[in-house]
This record gives sequence, structure tokens and C-alpha cells, in this order.
Amino acid sequence: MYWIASIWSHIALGMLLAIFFILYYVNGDGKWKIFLEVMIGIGGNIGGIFILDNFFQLNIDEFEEIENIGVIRICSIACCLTSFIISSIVFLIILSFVIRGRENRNFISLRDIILGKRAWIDAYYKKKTEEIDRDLNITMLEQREKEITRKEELLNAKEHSILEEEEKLNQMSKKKLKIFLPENGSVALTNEYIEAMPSYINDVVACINNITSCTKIILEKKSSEINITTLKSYFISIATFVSNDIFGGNAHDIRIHFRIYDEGLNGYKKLVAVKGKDIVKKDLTFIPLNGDNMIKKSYECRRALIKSINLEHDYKSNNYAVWEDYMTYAFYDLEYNGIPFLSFGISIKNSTRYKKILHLLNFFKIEDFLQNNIEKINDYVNIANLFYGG
Amino acid sequence: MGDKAMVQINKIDAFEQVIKAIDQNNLETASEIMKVLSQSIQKDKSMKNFSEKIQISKQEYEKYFKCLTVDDLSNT
Repeated sequence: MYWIASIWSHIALGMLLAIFFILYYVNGDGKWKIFLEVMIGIGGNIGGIFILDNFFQLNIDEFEEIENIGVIRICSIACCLTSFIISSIVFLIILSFVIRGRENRNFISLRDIILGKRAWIDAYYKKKTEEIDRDLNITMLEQREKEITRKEELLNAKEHSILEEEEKLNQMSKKKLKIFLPENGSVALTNEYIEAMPSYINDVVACINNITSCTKIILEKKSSEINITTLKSYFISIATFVSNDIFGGNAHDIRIHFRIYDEGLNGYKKLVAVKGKDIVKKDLTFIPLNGDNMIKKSYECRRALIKSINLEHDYKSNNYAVWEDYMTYAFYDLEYNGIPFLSFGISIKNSTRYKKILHLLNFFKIEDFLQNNIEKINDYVNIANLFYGG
Repeated sequence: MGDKAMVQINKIDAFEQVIKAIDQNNLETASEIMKVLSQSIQKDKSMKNFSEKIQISKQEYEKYFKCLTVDDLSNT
């Protein structure tokens, strides 16, 4: 009875050891590793068999005397080794069947993890990676990335080239002749300006002579003879001379005007206005005193201002698009209750054609000449008194 | 200058007629006077005449500036 138990227990022990051996064997990668594992596995297992066998035999010996104990021991060990060898072969065959066809699977099974089959897991990851790459069209994306990188390099090169050009242009613009216009503007003095300048000078001189002669006429009158009509005549004569002498009397393109402060309306309305060779019959846009406008700004900086150079102060009326550009000047010495009450303006419809004249008039400080003449009359007769009453 | 009867009037006086016409709301007359004055200014500019007087024809004078004192240039 005892020898049967001993044999069966040794057979079970052999099988158990065979399982561990096979698992350990299968888990190995590489021939040298497999060889080492086999050697260690066999040696370790045989060692284990002897240690366990010895342990069980000692226990049996403690309980009773058994005859032929040597034969039983040899048979048990033989059974254990035989069981180990047979079980190893059987488990190896079973595992071989289990593993067969693994390459075609597209999932990782529990036994892969138990077996620690790194190569298969890696193969699985590789396969999945290829699938994802195929789904995302990685090849196309890589080509696109290459294309984008190439374009990026081209753009960088172009940017570099543009920056160099910009630097050159900046250097060139620094060397360019400029006329500085109020308030903080500047215009490059091109050949067009230089070529047109003699003609402009002749026109401006003619205008100045005509206005000077009119100022002289007013100052030759007795102060008692000067009334609002006389002053309005003087202002309309200035507007007519500017229109005819400087702009050649072109109808509808140019409007020369004077605005006067209206106490009741608290803003600036038309005093006199000339368009080409004709009078302006309609009222001008009313400019309120309060708020940002060019009259106010001109009064502050004591210079005539051109809209296109001082856009931030432009008062946008309903017809602001009709007159493409204009120049405004507030006579800063003519004040009524601390408010400049007279303004002069030139509005142009064809900005391209006339802007050069505006720029040059502004540069020549035409407003200073007008200011001087009107000041002389104001010193002679108080203009504010005539318009607003003493 | 002598082939057409011309007169000279004070520039400011001439423009006063424009203002008076505007004040009387007679804008058509004001406009016509302005055209006469503009033409005279252009002519004076071409002749480089920048005096205090403006030259107009006697006919224009009769029409728009009759109330003004005038220097008759017909005999010059």
C-alpha cells in the first residue's frame, strides 16, 4: 500500500516539476538562453526531485517499518523521473498545439501573458501599429509632413529675404527727402513734387499778391465803413483767389470755405464758400464745437491740418465720403469767449490730383499768411465785435 | 484792352456785390457776378496784374456793379 502511494506521489511530483520546466523552457528566447535554461531546468528539477523524495521518505520512515524500502525508493524515483520526462514531452506537445497559428491572431491572450511571450506581444504591437498606420494613412501623412516641412523651409527663406528687403527699404526711406506736415506726418518729396513746385510757387505768389491787395483795400477804408458785409466780401475774395489762382478755378472739384462759430448752435457753420468759379449755395456740414474735430485740433496745434495725415481727428459727417481730403485751419488769435470763431478750409474731391497742392500749401504754411492778413484787419476793426456785437 | 470798353472797380467792392446778392437770397445773380470776377482774376493773373482794382467790361459793369465808383479805361 505504501509503495503505491510513494510511486503515485512521485509521479505527481514529476508532473508538477515538468509543468514548471516546460513553462520555463518555452519562455526562453534565443538558442544560448534555451540551452542554459534546459541545463538549469533539468539540473534543478532533478535536484528538486531528490530533495522532495528525501523529505517524503523521512516522513514514511517515522511512522512504520517498511520492507524493501530500498526497492520502493528506487522505483519511486524512477517513476518520478519517468513522469517528469513523459509529462515534459506531453506538455511540450500540448503547448505546441496551443501556440500553433499564433502569428495570425490579432489579440493577446491570457496564456501569452502567463507564458510571458515577449516576442509575440511585440509582434502583436507591431501588427496593431501597422493597422493604425494604415487606418490613419500614415504614409500620406508622412509625405504631407515632408511637403509642409519643405514649404516651411521655403517660407523661412522668403521671410528672411523679405526682412532683408524691408531693411534695405528702411535704409532707403531714411535717405529720402521728406516734407514734414502737421501734426506728425511726413510725405516723401518725389520728383512729381519737385517738378510741380515752380508752377505751384507762381500760383501761390499770384494768390498772395491778390489777397495782400484786398487786405490793403480794407485797411484803407475808414473803420466805421467796415461792416459784416465788408468782412464777408474780404473772406469770399480770399476763397476766390485761392480757388482761381492756386487751383485754376476748377468747378466742383475744389471747395474753399470759411466757417464761423455759431453761439446758439454751439458749432461751426458756413460763412462763405466757393466751389471752382461759383459760390456754394448749400450750407456746409455743421461741425459741433464739442468732440474731436480738425478745427479744434488745428486750434490746439496752431497749424493747418490735412485730413489724410490726421485721420484720427476727422469729423465724419454724412457727406464725408464726397470730399476725399481737406485742409482745415482755425485762426487761433481770433477768439470769442475763448473759442476760435473763424476757420478756413480747402476740400478736394479728386485726392490723387490735388493732394500734392494741399501738401505743399501746408508745407509753405499758407495759413500763416492768411493769419497775418486777417490779424491786421482784426487789429483795425474787432472782427468778433462785428460778428457777435460789442 | 482798347478794343472793348473796360472799367476798373475796387476788388473788395466787387465782391461786396456778391455778398449783397447772397444776403438778398439772389443766388443766381451772386453766381453770375462770381463768374465774371473769376474770369477777370484769371485774366489779371495771366497778365500778372495784381493791383487793388479788377477789370471788367462796361457791359458787365452796367449789369452788376452800377452802384460802384469806377475808373473808365475806355480812353486808355
